[in-house]
Order: sequence, then C-alpha cells, then structure tokens
Amino acid sequence: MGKTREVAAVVMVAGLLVGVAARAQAYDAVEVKDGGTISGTVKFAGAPPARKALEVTKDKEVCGKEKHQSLDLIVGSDKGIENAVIRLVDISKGKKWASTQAVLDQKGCIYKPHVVVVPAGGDLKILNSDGILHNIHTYSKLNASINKAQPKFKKELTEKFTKPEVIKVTCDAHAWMSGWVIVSDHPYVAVTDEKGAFSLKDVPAGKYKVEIWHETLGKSEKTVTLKPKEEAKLNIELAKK
Amino acid sequence: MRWWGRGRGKKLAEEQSLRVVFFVSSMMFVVVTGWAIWNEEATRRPWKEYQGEFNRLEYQQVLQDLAAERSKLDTPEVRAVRAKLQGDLQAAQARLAGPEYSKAQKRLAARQAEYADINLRAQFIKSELEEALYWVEHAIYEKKDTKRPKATAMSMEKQLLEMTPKVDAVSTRMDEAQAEVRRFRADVDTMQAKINELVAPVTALERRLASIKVRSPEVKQVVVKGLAINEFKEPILTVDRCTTCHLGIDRAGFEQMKQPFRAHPHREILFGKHPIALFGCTSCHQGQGSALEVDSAHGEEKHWERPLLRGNFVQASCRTCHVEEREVLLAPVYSQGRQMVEELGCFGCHNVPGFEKLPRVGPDLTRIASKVDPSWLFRWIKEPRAYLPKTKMPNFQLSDEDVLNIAAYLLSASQPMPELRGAFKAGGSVERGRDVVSRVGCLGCHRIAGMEPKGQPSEGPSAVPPSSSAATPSQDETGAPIVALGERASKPARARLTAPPPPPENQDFAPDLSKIASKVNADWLFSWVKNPRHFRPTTRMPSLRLSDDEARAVSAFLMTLGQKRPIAGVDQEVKKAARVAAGERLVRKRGCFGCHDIKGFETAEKIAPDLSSYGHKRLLELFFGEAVEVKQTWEDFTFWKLKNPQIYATERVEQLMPNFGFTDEEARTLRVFLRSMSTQRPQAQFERKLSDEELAIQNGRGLVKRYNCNGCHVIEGQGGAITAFYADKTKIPPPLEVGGLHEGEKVQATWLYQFLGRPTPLRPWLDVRMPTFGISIEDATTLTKYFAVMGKQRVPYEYVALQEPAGEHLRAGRLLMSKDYFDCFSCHQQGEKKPEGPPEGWAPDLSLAKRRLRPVWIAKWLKDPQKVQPGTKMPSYYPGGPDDVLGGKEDRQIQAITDYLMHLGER
Repeated sequence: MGKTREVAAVVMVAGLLVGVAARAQAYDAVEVKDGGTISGTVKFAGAPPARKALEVTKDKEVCGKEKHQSLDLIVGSDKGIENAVIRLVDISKGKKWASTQAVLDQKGCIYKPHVVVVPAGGDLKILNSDGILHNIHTYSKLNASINKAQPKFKKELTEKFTKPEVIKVTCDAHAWMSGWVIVSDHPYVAVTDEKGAFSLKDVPAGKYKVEIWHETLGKSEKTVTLKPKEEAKLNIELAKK
Repeated sequence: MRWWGRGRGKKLAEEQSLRVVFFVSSMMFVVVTGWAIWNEEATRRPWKEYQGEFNRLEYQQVLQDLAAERSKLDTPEVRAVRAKLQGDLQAAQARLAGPEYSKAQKRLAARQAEYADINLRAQFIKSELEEALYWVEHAIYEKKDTKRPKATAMSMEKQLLEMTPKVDAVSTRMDEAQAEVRRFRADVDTMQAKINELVAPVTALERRLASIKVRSPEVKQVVVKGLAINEFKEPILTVDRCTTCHLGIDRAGFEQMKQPFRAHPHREILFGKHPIALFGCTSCHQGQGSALEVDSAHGEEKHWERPLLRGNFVQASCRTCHVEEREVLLAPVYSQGRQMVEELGCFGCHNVPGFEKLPRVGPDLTRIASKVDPSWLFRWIKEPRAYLPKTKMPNFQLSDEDVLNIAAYLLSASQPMPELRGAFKAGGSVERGRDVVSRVGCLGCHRIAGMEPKGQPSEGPSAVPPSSSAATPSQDETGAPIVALGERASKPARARLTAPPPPPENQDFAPDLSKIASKVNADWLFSWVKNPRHFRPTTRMPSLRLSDDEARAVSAFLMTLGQKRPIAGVDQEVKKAARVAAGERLVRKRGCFGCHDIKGFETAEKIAPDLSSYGHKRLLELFFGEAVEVKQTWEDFTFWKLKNPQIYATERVEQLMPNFGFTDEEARTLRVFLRSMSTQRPQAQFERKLSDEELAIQNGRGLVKRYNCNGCHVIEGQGGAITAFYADKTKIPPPLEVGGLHEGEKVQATWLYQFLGRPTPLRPWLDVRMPTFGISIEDATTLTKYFAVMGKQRVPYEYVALQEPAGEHLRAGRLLMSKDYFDCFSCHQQGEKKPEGPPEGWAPDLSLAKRRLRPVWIAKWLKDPQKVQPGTKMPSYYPGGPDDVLGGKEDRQIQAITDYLMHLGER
C-alpha cells in the first residue's frame, strides 16, 4: 500500500513538475466550490521584548546600508507577531497551488522574505542581489541538506525540496543571516504579516487541525470547524516558553 | 557336576562323550558373538545414531530446497522459456533427421571420397618423384649420365605442382561439407545444454538426495600435522574425528540447527582462513579428537588435560598463533582482556609474555613529597577508591600501621622539586580559571564535577559528520562482529572490534579533578599545569601552553575544588626513621615499584609468579588454601583469585596480590586472557605476522589510546567526547578519521610529523588548543604512518610533486579566488591578512596549504566538500563554476585553484 503510494507520488511529482502545481504524497488537487476562509491574527501574550540590534561585522559597504535588527521575534503594533506560520495539517483534498515556485532574495545581507513558503517539489529561486559571496547552508532532516556557494557571478540558484519540512537557512560567510524555508505539500499555509494577520482562502468545509509555528515560540495546534462559504476566525496568542 | 565325575571314573577319556560340553560351549560362543556384534553395532557407536539423524535432517532440507527449485521451474515465465527451448530442440532434432541433413551427409561422403581419391594420386606422384630423385643421385654417384633421370624428376615435380592446388580445393570443399554437417549437430547440442543449465539445480539436488539415501555410516577424521611441535621439534600429529558427529559444521543452512549439527559461527571467515584439513578442530577447541563418545571426545573426563574450551574460553586459543596482535577480530573477549592487562599493568609484578617492554603504568613517585601532603597520601594508600572511584590503583588492604610506614618511606625517598620559573601567587582569578579550564581542552581527558556536558556528544551534523554511505566501519561497532568483518573484507584498513573509547560520563583516562585541592598544593599545581614534563619527564600529560596568567588562574580555580583534611600526628609519624625502614621493607614485599618509579627500587625484580604458562596450570599447582567454598576447577580458582585474592590466605600463607575491585564481568574477561597464557609455540608457518600496514595501524591505535587523541578528535569514527562541552559546534576540535575524511589523505606527512612534535595554532577561532605532547621522534613517526595508512597513502614521507604551472594557469587560479569570483578570502585567512568579522567566522589559513595539504586532496575537497566532511561550513562551488574562466571547464578551474594555492605567496 505504502509502496504503491510512493510510486504514485513519484510519478505524480515527476509529471507535475512540468508545469502544473506540484504536490506530494496524499494531497489531491481538486476544484473547490463553496470554500470558506480561515483567517485571524497571531499575537504575543505579555510585554513584547525589544528587538536586538545585530552587528554587521563584515562586508559593511554592502551589508551595512541599513540597520540590522534581530528577526527571531518581531512583535508589531497591537502585539501582532510577524513571521509566524499557519498551516493546515490533516488536509488531503483542496485547491491547486497557484504557483510552482518561490523566491528568496539575499539583499543587504538579509534573507527576503525571512520565512519563505515553497511548494513541495517546486522550485525555490535564490537570488543574490548583493553581488558578494553568500552561501546557502540548509539544516534539514527529510530533504537533503545543502551548502552551496553563491558568488558574485551567480545571480540565481534554483533548489528543489520534495518533502514537507521546516528548514533553517544560514550563511556561513555572514553569521547574522538566518532564514527559514517552509516546504508544504498543499497550499493552505500562510505567513503572518507585520500585524500578525493571516488568511487561508478557498478551504473546503470541514474540521481541521491548524498548526501554528514560530521559530522562537515553537509549535502549537488548534482545531477549526469551517462551514461552506463562511469565514472562521482564529485568534491565537503565543507566549514565551 | 556329579555326572562328570562319575563318568570319569567308569570310562576311559577317549570313550567319554563330550557332546553336551561341546553343545553348551558352542551355544555360549554363539550368544557371546551375537552380543559382541550387537554391542559393537548398537551401543558402542553413538555416533551412528547422530549420523542417521543428520541424514534425516539433511534429507528434509534438500527436499525443501528441491521443492523450492522445482517451484521456480514451475513459474509461467520459466515454463514458457523451457517450452520454447524444448521446441527449438525438437526442431533441431527434426532437422537432424530430415532430408537436408542426409543430403549434407551424402555430400560430405562424396567429397570425402573425392578427396581420398585425389590425395592418393598426389601421394603416388610424390613417391615417384622421390624415386626419380634417387635415380638422379644414383647417377651422380655412379658417375653416369644424369640427363634422363633429371628430366623424369622435373616432369614429376611439375605434375606434383599442378596437382597441389587441386588437392587443396577439394580439401576445402570437404571441410565446408563437414562444417555444414556439424552445424546441424551443434544446434541440437546447444539447445540441450541450455535446457540442462535450466534444470541443473534440480538435477544436482536430486543427485544429492539419492546420495544421502545410500550413504553408509562412517567415522570421519582429519589427520592434522598439528600446529604445535614436540620436544624433538617435530610437528605433533593429531587425529580429529569431531566431524563424525558435528556433520553440519561447514554447511550452509545449518546455522540454526540443534547441536551437534549446527554450523560453525562465522564459518566463511574462520574456515576461509583456517581450513579444517589444515587446522582440525582440537587445535583451537581442545578436547580429545580421537574419541568418539560425547564426554570423552570433549575431553571432559578424569586425567585428560585439555578439556573442551567452552564459551568465550575458546578465544584464548587465538593467541597461539596471533600473539603479535593486540586485537583479534573474532576474539573480542580475549582482546578486551589483553587490553585490561596492558592498562592495569599486571606485568609490573608478573611476568606476562608480550608485555616485557612496556613502561610502568603508575605515576613516578620520586618527587611525591612536593606534590601531596602526608595525610592525603595516608588516605590514598589505605583506600584509593575513596578519592578516585575509577582509579586503577588497587587496594592492598593494609593496616594503618603499614600504610604509615609506606608513606614514610615514599616521602623520605622523595627528591626535591626542580626549580620553577614563575611561581603561583595568590589572587589569580577563580572565575577566569574556571573559564580557561572549561574551554582550552582540559575536559578532553579530565572530569570535574560541576562541569557537565552541555549536549549529546558525537551527534548532530557538525559534531561527528555521519558518512554519506554510513559506511564508517567503526560506527557499527555494537553490531554483530560479522558486519565488521564484511567491512574488513572490503577495506585494507582493519576494522576495529574492541573497546571503543568510553562515553564521557565513564571516561577516566586521567584523574577526576573534582577534589584536587585536597590532594595537591598550589605551587606544585602551577608548575605542573605550566609544564608537566618539567616535574615528571615521562608524563603523558601535555602542555597546553598556558601563559603565566592563565596558569595562575587555573591553579586558583582548581584549588577551590576540595579541601585539605590533615590527620593529626601523621606529619610527625612519617618522619620517624623506624617507620622509613619498615616502609622500605613493605614497598619491596608488596611490589609498589611494579607500577611506580620509586627511588631505591630501580632494578628490583618482579615479585609475583610468572604467568607465561598459567593457562595450563594443573589443579595441584593451584593453592586453594582453606577456601572450601571455591569449586576445585581452574576456572573457579582464577575467578576468585581475581575477585578477592585474600580468599586463599591462611594463617601460614600470605596473599600479596592486591584487590582490584573487579566486577564479575571484568574477572571473566581477564580469565579468558589468562587461559591463553601458554608456552606452547606453533610451527613458524602458522604464526600470524602482521604486515607493515597492519603493524602501522596497530601501533598507531596504541598511541592514539596512550595520548588519548580520542578525547578531543573523532578518529576511526569514535571519540570526540569533549564536543559535549561546547554548545557552539563551530568550537569543537576537528574530526580526523571518519567517513570520507582521512587526515592522512588530507595533509602532507611531513607537515603532520612536524605538527605532532610542535603544534602551531591553525584555527584561531577555537578556544580548545592542540596540546604540546612533547612526543618522541619514534611516536611522531608512528602516528604519521598510522594516519597515512588509514588515508590509504602508501608512503609516510612523500615528495609533493609540483610542476611549474603556466603563468596563465596561476592567473586564472588567482582570478577564481578573487572577490569577483569565489571570494575565498571572505572567510579564509591568508597569513597575516585576516578576513573581516569575528574569528568565529574564519576558515583555515590558505597560505599554509602548500606546506600542509596534499594537492590531490585539495582538488577532491574543492569538487565536493560535503562529500568529504558532511556538515562542513565550506560550501560547494561545483558544479556551476563561471563560464568565462578557462573555457568554463571545471576540472581545469579546480586544477588552477589547486596550483595557485600550492604556489601562494611565491609571486
């Protein structure tokens, strides 16, 4: 059973990479009618800590243009947490990925965006807008770890991740740089904006487990019941552990 | 009996009838004969029953195999193949029987006849030519006219010349016909062969089945021209009949069978290297090879001196031939025992063959007075484990009086301390000291309570990179030995079986420092950490090149660990001359000098019995004393002697051996080694000599252990326990030998040799320092050779062959490394030129590369660093080098960078 599934997945991925949305394993893309929306905010419980200034120790003429502040916990106005990831866990059917690729830029020695969502099996385009040596060093368990240099002459790299996973990315040349790649096999995944807001659209009606992940505050889970064409509100509070 | 007596009286002897007597005695003879046959056949041949049972078992097994093979033949695919082959065969046979074939045969016959005909004619002409030539010669000899005979000869020769091509043509035609006929036959033969091949396994099994059925019982024996030689230097012949019952010993499929039919464990390896025909059974297992009953064959009867070696004891036999080896692959218990002897220093008191040249295992006591105070010394000798629970110093179970005397002698014989440069001054910062101790590398060997590991050692990507193929032999250490064996077969380097370095919590390579202040004084400590060899030239403790300031801080910190506990009166007692004299006698009697250097005992003889033939000691040679609770066997005697030597002490017989506090397991392990102690030597051709490479590895491993390189570095996939003390994994010492990473392949041997002797910092971001061990030239050479062999480098000292590269090549290399391309110096240092940013982000100095790295390795590393050392910070640049340098050809670019590095700083 598991074997046939795997084979099917491989065939599907291989086929889908050509152009359509890429999916892995048990997720079926169908047309969603009368879908609902899950939206809400992720907020910080307690007094928000101030962001620390990061010292730029190297390549100051490129990296030092703007001030660097720590990105591991950004609490905006109204205590909204930026860069938290909201993802449905147990969904097996739903809409297609709208895109097959994502872009991660290295600009001013900062990963932009700090958290990037990539479809499983899709491409991650990694840009080097700085024109200095960076290297992409990922720490992953399910996907193969990579550590590739991206020197000045290499403006663009393309990487593929096939299995859903949360992967840390660092640059060994610039110790302060850190980012995250979220690989998902379905499109119901969102990263909160600076107000901590998110929304997942066109979700088929049903009861779902929602996973909330944040690099500093960890993982938690909520359940949500969604009726057709309605909007379910989900307001989450995270605190320091 | 009366009828007999009566008869005697009446008749003459000749007239008496002996019918009855004759009848009775013949009947008795018949019965006895019957009994003898029955006894011989049925009761005195237990092995026949075993053979019968084995035949049944084997029959069953073959039957099963046969069924499996037949079912394989029965699958639709195979059946289709067979049907097709059968069809082809029939077709070929039909052709053989058909008109084509007979036509071809007829053609052949006709041509053969034609050839015979023409050939005969040619032969005749040849003969006539010979004749004509004779007449020519004859005419010359007789001095007659030669014209006519010559003309005849000429005409004959001409005829023959005309004839020859015709003969050849006919011959060729005959061969063609022959080939055609053969082709018909060949078709049939190949088809038949193909079919036979398909059913071959089945036929083989069927034949085996048939042979089992008709097999008659027989005694099987191997006559072995033994390993050993007798007093007259002749090999001792032995007859081993073990395989009469142990029938499945070398047979696949019998691994799980009940005894006596089970196959030998690790059969392929063991029998591969030790064929039964050459070694027999008893040369390893002992027992009585010629006997055919269970107990007597196993030698487990009275007066047989070599009973079967059961369980782990059989490993003791390996030593007979493998005496040079420290680790015998399939004898882990023996090897472990050998290692224990080496570490515990049993050879200090006993003569143990193979350990004659080792240095004493305990510290030098010739300057003990400047290091410890009398009260500590008293407590230590009395009960060493109270201070260091894991110490190897045994407990001599001495009275307080004796302990005082020994302490008195040791202190009085102590030499003054060498003069110090710089001294301990109070006021060193304890906090700084703690910091230094926790960072510079003390924890690679020592443990200190309160400084606990921060995480799992040897895990996580950067700590011990798991090899990409998971093929590090040593990581499978805990697996079945056979796994390691497989590895061994595929690698020249020998897989390692015994005693991996213990996990950090069990590490006791160097003393635990948790209570150090109760033992030593600050002045001594300062001088010691500054330069250990200054105080004791033979110590293994290396110098960490601490500055005076650091050494002061370290001493200040260490002096906060524990407290002095003076015992009232001891200081005065140890000065008494009577005690000193009594102490000297005690040191001599108990053999303290076996492990320690003590003044006055430099040439003293070993105090304990020679162990060189201990394995063959007979019961009457073992002194059980009054220990009636100990069973009267060699095994039990030895076990209890190790566990508690005092058990054999009586009022009249003292036991001098101290108590080592062995666990049952340790005692059993040592016992296996002791069993191997034998003076019997095998014939020279059986002695296993280590090859140069094997010796280099064995000696290297010995030194790695001696200097505890494993405390900091991962070597052969093991060790690196210090890693656990660093939360930041960029701060750990580099691994040396794991997965695809081989120090000997990476660095130039001459550099490594120099570095071992006098290390220079390579990685300024590390707090941990490569210590200066002050090792001897021999040791540095041995280690260099070890790493070279592990890295599959043949020669330890090599000439790094460098061609003068073209200027264009060097320019390309420089360009590739520049900021516009790979920007290597963004992280790498180049001599005095340091990269931007904090040292944590730096990488090794590339100006050292030309003296340090092997160019071949540089190229391998550049091509795919992650493959060599998974998890490294060095990113991969290839594939995907720039298109506008050296035509975008990667190999040329890598070569250019390598060449540039090997010439860096020259122009």
